[in-house]
Amino acid sequence: MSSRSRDRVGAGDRRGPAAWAALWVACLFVTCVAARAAEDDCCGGVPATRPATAPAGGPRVIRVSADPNNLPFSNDKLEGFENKIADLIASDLGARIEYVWRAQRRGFFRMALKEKECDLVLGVPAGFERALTTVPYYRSGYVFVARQGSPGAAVRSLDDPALRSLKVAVQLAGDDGADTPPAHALAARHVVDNMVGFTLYGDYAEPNPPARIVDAVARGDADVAMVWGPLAGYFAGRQPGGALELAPVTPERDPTSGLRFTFDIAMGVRRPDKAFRDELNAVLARRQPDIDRILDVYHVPRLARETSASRPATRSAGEAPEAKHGDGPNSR
Amino acid sequence: MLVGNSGGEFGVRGWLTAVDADSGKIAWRAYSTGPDADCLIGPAFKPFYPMDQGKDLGVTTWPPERWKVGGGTVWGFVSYDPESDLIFYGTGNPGVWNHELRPGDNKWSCGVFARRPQNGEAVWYYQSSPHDLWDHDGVNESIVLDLPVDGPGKPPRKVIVRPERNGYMYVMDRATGQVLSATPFVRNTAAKGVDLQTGRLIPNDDKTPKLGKVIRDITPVSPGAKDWQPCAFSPRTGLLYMPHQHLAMDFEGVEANYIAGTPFLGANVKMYADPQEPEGNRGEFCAWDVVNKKKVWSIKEKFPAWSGACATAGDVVFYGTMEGWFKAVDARTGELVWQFKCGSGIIGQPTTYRGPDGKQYVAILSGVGGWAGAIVSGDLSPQDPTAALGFVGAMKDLPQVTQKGGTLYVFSLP
Repeated sequence: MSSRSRDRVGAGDRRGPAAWAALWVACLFVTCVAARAAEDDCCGGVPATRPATAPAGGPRVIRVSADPNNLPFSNDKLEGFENKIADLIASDLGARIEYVWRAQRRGFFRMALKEKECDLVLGVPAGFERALTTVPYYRSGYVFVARQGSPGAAVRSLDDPALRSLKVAVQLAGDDGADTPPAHALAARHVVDNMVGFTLYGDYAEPNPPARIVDAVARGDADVAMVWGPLAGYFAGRQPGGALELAPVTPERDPTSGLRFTFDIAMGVRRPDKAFRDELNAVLARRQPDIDRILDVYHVPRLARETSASRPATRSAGEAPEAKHGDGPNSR
Repeated sequence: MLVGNSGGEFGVRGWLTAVDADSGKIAWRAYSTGPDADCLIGPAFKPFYPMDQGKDLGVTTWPPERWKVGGGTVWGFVSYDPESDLIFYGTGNPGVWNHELRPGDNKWSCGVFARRPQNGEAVWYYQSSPHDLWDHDGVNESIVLDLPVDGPGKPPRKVIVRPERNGYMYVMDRATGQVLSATPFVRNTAAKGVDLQTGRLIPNDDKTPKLGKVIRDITPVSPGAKDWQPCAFSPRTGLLYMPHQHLAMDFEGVEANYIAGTPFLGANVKMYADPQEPEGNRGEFCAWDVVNKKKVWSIKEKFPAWSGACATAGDVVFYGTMEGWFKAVDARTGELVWQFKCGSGIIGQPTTYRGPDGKQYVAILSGVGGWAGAIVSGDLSPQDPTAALGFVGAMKDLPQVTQKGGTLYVFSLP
């Protein structure tokens, strides 16, 4: 399955900083055996250092709130990469995971991190103010997804004039005026008529509703889609038809819309839970290579974290600030 | 039996459905977006204003295909006038709240339909907020009245009265959908007025939201000058009793959020008491003279007045506050005649009835919640002013004065 998903960076990708492009290439050319067995083996019980003692009365329990139907992140059959990473954390800390299943919709973080519901959420944007976050454990970005060899596969930039005539699919959060950066970026360019929206909310009775956007490209219902990296990386390799290609959306920081397309992803705990957060940071420091292996299996496209060394020499004018204070929308 | 759907924020396509009360079979369904056939628009349809006239506007006033996730849900009140055999109801906000993704008037969202209950066919429609920028759903109540709005010596006009989220009190001819008057009932910076020639809301372009742009002092706020909390009318006093709010909001900055594992960006919204309200009050309960288009008396409330209202033949009007006070006021003067502190804030609708023992009873549900009460019912942290889409910032003090609850109180008259 994974062998069908290929990237076309390299000669065609002129825009990103060198370090960024190189790591991009490295991630997507990692060969992984796609069979389920390998996915299971990848993370099972790799011992590292263990904490001193398990508490009396049985193993420690870490409660995780997760979406029961949201591959590649998680599902209630524990097939997602967040499920695997949760297992890794549990084994490292001598604990076991108990899941509280909750669809990740508006109100999720309030409910999940409310006292007594759960201790940990495996994926939050770093610096997210509705949780106390760990250091990020991966950085990814929105990608263009297109059928191999099709006109959409040549699109590398939001400013590509082809985006005005191709059928472009974007993910819609539809959440109180907020939307995915590609949706905003196209709106800012008045590319609207040829845009097809796929809401993040689909028919929850079906498996993997957010994957519809990738299916649409494979079927030919869209020529190019702009999709959050992990979703694209996983489902692009699972299309029964021809190969799909991925390329990072550029510019990474877009002067026209003032938005950015890459996000650092961390884990989140309740805000007062500093001790647990620090404990998780220690796990991440110890086990990042194992986590990277899990993310490779799932074809999560990853980028180097921004450090002062890797930051691009020139910044886009008028770029938006990083995630600031304040919560996202909540239930009415 | 008529029922509408909700979910305008979730990519749902709005509709009103008629269900046979005996069999449960669907008799008809009128969509709020899409081709005329889906919206039950046909030869009987005669909208009053040119902006609402044309073929398949439920498709053509959207970018291609966008009407399919168009919203226009029907989660509010439906009224019926047996004399004209018309039902009146409003449609909610257009789907995909980011307005830049849906250029066009986005029909038939944020407007009011008149239909024949027998077969659902549309008779007229009026759009109170074309190309809505603010989540100003049109689902508020339509109050069916005969009023002497044409002046003394003229017969009363058959109207519906609609206090809209967009801050205007509309009086409309219920046979044709003509707007006879649209009077502001709160300070309004989002719009400059309603053009009675074209029927169109005139937006204030300075306040048009744009991600990354800081815009301050927007009123009415997204919940509106009055949300769904319903009014009551007394034929004895000729006054409309209206619970509502006085809030303003700022849009600023960009923040990251996360749904279904997908990060995205949205504006920080903060709501606060309208700084130009004299007492810093966030709410008001008033008596509005519909014919003369003005407020007659007013009770300033510290918090938004989010309950309904009930006017009685004894010239007493009941309403409740978010602190939990259930109040009875004189219908003519607004003077407080009685109040009772319930265990939790009130967002329910007071009702009165005669019991089997012949006594009169007044009932109210107390139990704070709704959008305004989310800080208490949802245990939201007051440290996050932008939670509940900014409503938390305006309600930081609510947890100090009330708690969660759910109690039905019934009072009897002696």
